[in-house]
Amino acid sequence: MNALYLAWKYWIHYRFRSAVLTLCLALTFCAPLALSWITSHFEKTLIQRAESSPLVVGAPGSALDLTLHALYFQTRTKSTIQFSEMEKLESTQLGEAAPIFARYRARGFPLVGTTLDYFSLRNLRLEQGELFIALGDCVLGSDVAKELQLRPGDSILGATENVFDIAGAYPLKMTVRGILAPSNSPDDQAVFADLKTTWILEGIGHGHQDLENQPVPENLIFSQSATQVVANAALNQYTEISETNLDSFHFHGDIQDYPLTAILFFPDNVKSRTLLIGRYNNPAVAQSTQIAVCLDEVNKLLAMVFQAKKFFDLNHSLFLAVSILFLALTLSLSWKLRQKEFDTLSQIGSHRTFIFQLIAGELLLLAFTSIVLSGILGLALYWLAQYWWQSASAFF
Amino acid sequence: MEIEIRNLEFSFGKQKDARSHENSASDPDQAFQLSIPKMSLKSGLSHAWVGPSGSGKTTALRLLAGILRPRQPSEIGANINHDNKSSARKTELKIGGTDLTRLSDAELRRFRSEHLGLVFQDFKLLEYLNVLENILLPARLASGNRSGTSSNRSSLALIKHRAETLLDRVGLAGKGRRSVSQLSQGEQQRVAICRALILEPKLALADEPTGNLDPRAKVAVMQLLREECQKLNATLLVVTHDHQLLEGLDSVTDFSTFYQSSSNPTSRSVQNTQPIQSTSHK
Repeated sequence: MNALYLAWKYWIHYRFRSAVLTLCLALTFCAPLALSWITSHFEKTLIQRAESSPLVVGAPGSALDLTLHALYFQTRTKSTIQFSEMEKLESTQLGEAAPIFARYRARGFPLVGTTLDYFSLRNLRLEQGELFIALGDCVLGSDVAKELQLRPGDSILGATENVFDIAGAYPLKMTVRGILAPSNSPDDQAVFADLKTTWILEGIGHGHQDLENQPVPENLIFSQSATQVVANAALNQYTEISETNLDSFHFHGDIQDYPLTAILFFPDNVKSRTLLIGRYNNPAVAQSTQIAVCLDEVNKLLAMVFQAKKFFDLNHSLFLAVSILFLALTLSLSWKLRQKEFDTLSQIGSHRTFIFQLIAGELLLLAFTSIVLSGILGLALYWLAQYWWQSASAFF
Repeated sequence: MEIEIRNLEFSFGKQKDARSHENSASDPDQAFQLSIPKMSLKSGLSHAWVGPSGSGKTTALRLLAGILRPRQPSEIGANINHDNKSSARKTELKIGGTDLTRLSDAELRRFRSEHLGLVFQDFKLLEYLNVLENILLPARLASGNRSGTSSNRSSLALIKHRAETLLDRVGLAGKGRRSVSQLSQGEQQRVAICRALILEPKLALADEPTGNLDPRAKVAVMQLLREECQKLNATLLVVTHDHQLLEGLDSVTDFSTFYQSSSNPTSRSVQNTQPIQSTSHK
């Protein structure tokens, strides 16, 4: 008789016992397996994103924070650089730049103010609709559209967290113009709008009742001169940009001074890259701005992650060793209890090696089912971790 | 198959493996010696070995089945009384002319598999196999090395048919797919008998086959064993201490004269003594 068949019959007959053993072993294996997959995926994703965004310019401070902000829109930075920095970068003619102003959120997702260049530099394509063309338009990442069930023509409210802050910016109702195709990147989880739209949320630009050409109640006028009308806080400010009120929106101050949280820079070649890094490493420039090499910063982060992983690996190895020892003890006790069965097999004609084949068959079944189950559990953990990662990143 | 035993000696005590003598001694720590100077059991008949517990019946049966190995008289310890010539005597344990003492372990296993059928007191059925699979087990174990060939498959098919016929004969028709744990003790022993006879052995060895059965089942099982062995023209050797079951058997050997135990110093080995035989040969 095939020893494996007999082992299978034993396995099936004592299915509960077998299932418990399998589950114990599978759980022991699946944790390091899942951790390995997750870290591998994490590493791959981070590297991929970092490689696709070579340099980032921003306010002085943590280069890692700046990188994470520019790549993942994950840190709420208060430090900004001026828009003039963007023009300086463009004037170098060393590559192409994409500005980022990402201080606010739209229904929990990061609201990224940028220019149309961002989409071409990132190779993002539209799945539905079109890119933003007017003030108040926005484009949704695929996950955002899916989760909020929005389509082109729908609207989304930006910066709702400021709704009760009467001294802060007003929320802005934006119109969804298009939806991006999935790119398996943080862009899937962001809302994109024109820089000016996000500057409106910042309070730099606004639209309100016409004080000069339209009659307004007396109580709204704070002061009035021949050249200037100053209204008080009761003046009706627009929280939605429409065709009728579009002309009333205006910006105060010099655009060169308007804030950016980061500028992504894609140098033409290695020489351009080196030149630009050299310029920003100049101490005089470094006081007001910094340049971060995304890949370097991500590698620093990964080094920390893998340092932590080593500890987990050691922990898992010890756990695995203890589990295997317990399993060996359990199996050896089981085989001792089954000595009579083995004697019977021997007495009715089985070869001595058949008993070893039977035991090997049972171990093989245990190993096979455990590996399959640990693979399934590992995959489940991996997917769960990905889901958690995406959910968590949306709320950074 | 005719059985011939000459100068069979076997002993164990505190230092030996007591487990292998579970039915022969009430206290495994006690020293024990079995000595059978001469015995002959005729082919095709049914024989019984009787005697009190610990008299060595099971040990002798295991020696006959090749599960235990006899020791040459010279190997027996100094604490045992020997005839001065004992070292010159040679142990013979012949079944159908084959001397088991001359076979290697592998040859013994093959011999057991091909020629012997074993029935145990506690049935020794595998719980995780159903009735039919238990019966087919010796056949499948024997064919293990040749598995996969078409001739092997066809012979297995024939054996399966024979197993179903056997089940039918022992009154278990239709119960082949059942788990053995769903059967009564009597039914389980009948399954064990079918397993012992599936390869049509020439010698059936039954160790207390009715030990765990109620009186009614005892008679039925013994009758079944005898009938099936008669149909196969196989020699049947039953070890029992139940004298009620001896009726209908061809010969009975009393083992009380063959052993010496520390708990029974008066029962010394009686060498060169013929076993008691109630010669009721048919």
